[in-house]
Amino acid sequence: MGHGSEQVISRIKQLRRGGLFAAAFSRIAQALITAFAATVIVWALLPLTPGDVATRVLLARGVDHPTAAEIAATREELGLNNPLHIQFFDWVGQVLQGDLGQSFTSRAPVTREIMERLPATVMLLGMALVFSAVLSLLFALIAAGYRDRWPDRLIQIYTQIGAALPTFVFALLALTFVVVGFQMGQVLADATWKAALIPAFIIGLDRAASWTQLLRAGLLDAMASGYANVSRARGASERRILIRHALPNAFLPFLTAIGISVGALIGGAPLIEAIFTWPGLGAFLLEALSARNYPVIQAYVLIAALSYVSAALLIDLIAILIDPRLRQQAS
Amino acid sequence: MNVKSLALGSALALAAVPAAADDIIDMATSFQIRSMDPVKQGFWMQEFGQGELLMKFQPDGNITPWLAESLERKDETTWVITIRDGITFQNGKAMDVPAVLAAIEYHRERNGGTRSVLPAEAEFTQTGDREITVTTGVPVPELPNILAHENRLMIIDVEPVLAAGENFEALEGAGIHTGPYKLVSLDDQRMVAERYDDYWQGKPAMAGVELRFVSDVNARILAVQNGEVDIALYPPVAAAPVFKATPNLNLALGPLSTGGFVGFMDVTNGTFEEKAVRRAVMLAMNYEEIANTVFHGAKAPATGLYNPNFPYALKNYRYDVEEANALLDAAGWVRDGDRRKRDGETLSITIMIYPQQPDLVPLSNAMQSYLAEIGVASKVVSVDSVREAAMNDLVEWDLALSATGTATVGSVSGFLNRYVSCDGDRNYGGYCNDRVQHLITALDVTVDEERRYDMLREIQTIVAEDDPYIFNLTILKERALVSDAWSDYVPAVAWNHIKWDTAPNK
Repeated sequence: MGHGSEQVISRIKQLRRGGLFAAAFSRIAQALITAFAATVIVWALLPLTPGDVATRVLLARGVDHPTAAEIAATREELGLNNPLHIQFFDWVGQVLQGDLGQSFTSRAPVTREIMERLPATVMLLGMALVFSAVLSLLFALIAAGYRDRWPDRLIQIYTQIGAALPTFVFALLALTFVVVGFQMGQVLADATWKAALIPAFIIGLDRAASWTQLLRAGLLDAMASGYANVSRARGASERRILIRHALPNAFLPFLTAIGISVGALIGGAPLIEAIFTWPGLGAFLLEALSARNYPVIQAYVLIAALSYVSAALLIDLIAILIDPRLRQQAS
Repeated sequence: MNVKSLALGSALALAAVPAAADDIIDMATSFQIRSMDPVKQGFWMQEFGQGELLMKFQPDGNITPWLAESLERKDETTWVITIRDGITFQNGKAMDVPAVLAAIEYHRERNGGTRSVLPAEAEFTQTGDREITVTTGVPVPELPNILAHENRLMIIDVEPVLAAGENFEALEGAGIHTGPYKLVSLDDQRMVAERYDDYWQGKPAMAGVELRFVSDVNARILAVQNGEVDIALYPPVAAAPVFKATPNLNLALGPLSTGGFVGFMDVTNGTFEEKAVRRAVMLAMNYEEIANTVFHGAKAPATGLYNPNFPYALKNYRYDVEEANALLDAAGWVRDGDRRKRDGETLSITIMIYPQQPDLVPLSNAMQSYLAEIGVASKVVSVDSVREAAMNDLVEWDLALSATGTATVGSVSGFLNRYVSCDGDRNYGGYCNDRVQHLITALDVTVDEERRYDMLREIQTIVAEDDPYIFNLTILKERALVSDAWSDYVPAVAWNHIKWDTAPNK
């Protein structure tokens, strides 16, 4: 069993020790601490960026030539004259009351602005995640089933190209050649399921490359193990060994990789959404970064961190549900 | 061109074919219209066929009547505006003198830009059925330009605006403008406008306008190629050869703009404290090559500080490497191999650019090679905002490049007061020349045209030759990327992208 499985087992042991729910609460607390730490780091780094925040905010509000008085008033309005730690704790206080603050630029509640865009991002990334999982599962099973034959070699070429190319280059090329070249969809997307299909497939195809490599290696290890040989000796077919024995054993590291990738997907969303002109949170973040819109940036960091740790927790729970052997080992 | 552009370019050249045009003008722009706030965002409405102004700027520098029928100067402080008869707002109400006066008052009360150019004592009074007399108190020689500036006095129906208060969404569909296309909806992604059938110049050519806000330049290019938009604004002209080789992409070029890529030299410290070095750098620039080779003819060679079509524009730029070298030799900067040194110090400059103008990359690269020819070492730094970096000394720099209009809608005083005047809020390089300052102050209150031209010519001579500070590297041409069906589209001056007769090829 690989390193990923050991990590999962270790976490599951913790879950089992205090009962499932107590352990889940403990993990949620850890998740909140992680998210809090991420926001502290970002908050500490933001003031180091060059440029005056109040001026940037006024420019983003459409005040093209702000006067010194306007800049001073804006600084006061945004609370930028307070010490940094006071600003931070004010923000935390608001967050604890379920209020993510007010956008520096539009003056609208950040929660409302985020909720307007979150569904589009969840739709795109969710579909991309499903595509990646399905494609990598399919490719890895084919590659392992046809080891060292042409389907395996073809899939290996794909995985090497996919792993080597940065996602944005892959997306840009696919957009140009597939969407425009074959007139398959829209460059300027609206947030609909139909419009999400092609971008999600492209992101999924890119993401599936490394997962396929991981799952293929796990499957081949399992196929060469003692229990696989015993099954063979008992007359089981290679397909049966692959599906019934190798796949469940290789599945946990694969599942862990998916969990970790949620964070990478959310982190990479701004670039991907910019390439596909997708009206989601990523594009909103880019705009906020340019305008030094701290509450929006902080809210995004918080959401990204919570999504990442929630995904890890969810993966742990799914692992327990799908693998009875794990439950036994953990207890 | 960077790697991403090259990858995109080769991909574009291989890819395929256009979708058909419909009866809507589909356009993409890089900037988002955030609201219908007439003060902060109202200027956009002039650009895409919703709003109109009393006067209109023309490519030759002249200002001609638009919603006004005429503008006449009676004396140094008195003007008479006659408005056209029979014009209505898109909501059907008459655009009469009281309505125009209400719009002017609205902007003067709320718009800082308007207040900064119109003296507080100026009065606009109805003196006839269609006549408004303007008494400015002090001479305001650029009143025609002010009336032609999209961000000063847009003519709107004030009543619904006041009723809406801060709820600007209520103005969508309210028909507060007089233009050919009435805005009916606006969100983060797009603005939609429909034809105003009773438009005063005739029936608008198209059924409507759909304007998409697309910040990514590659997406705008691909959207034209894919037939999703007809016209995309702000294309990178350095990629002109790629556009030429790509199906359904055409770089449409219009008349010369009122601005260009302007270089500002930091005269307060470092290399450019010496006038000889500043002058040598200006002489080392090959303006013809920048326009015709670096930008493939999509920009015009800089010949002076102003668009050469303007009557007061001097053509006093030269490319003369020999003279540049002689100036540096005389200043004691001795050639030592590829570089020049004096007292052990190497002559070098830092060029500052910003990413929002991708054409500054090839321009700064070309400038580095010209500087190398005269033995000046150089490096390029990119900052988020040249204004912030220069005014707050956020980075070390010697030569800042910025896309700037030197005579926006023909108005020279705004640029001179902000960028060249000793206390200008955008005097990046800390320049202060007594004679130039005197001329700028005098120009602000001089109405006589010939005297103004003489003053402007003297300023141009000083800032380029006697005490160099600011210079154009290239003059922009108005430009847009258009599909095959719109290949006859001519980009207009003063950002007036959509007019009532804007239509695809016949």
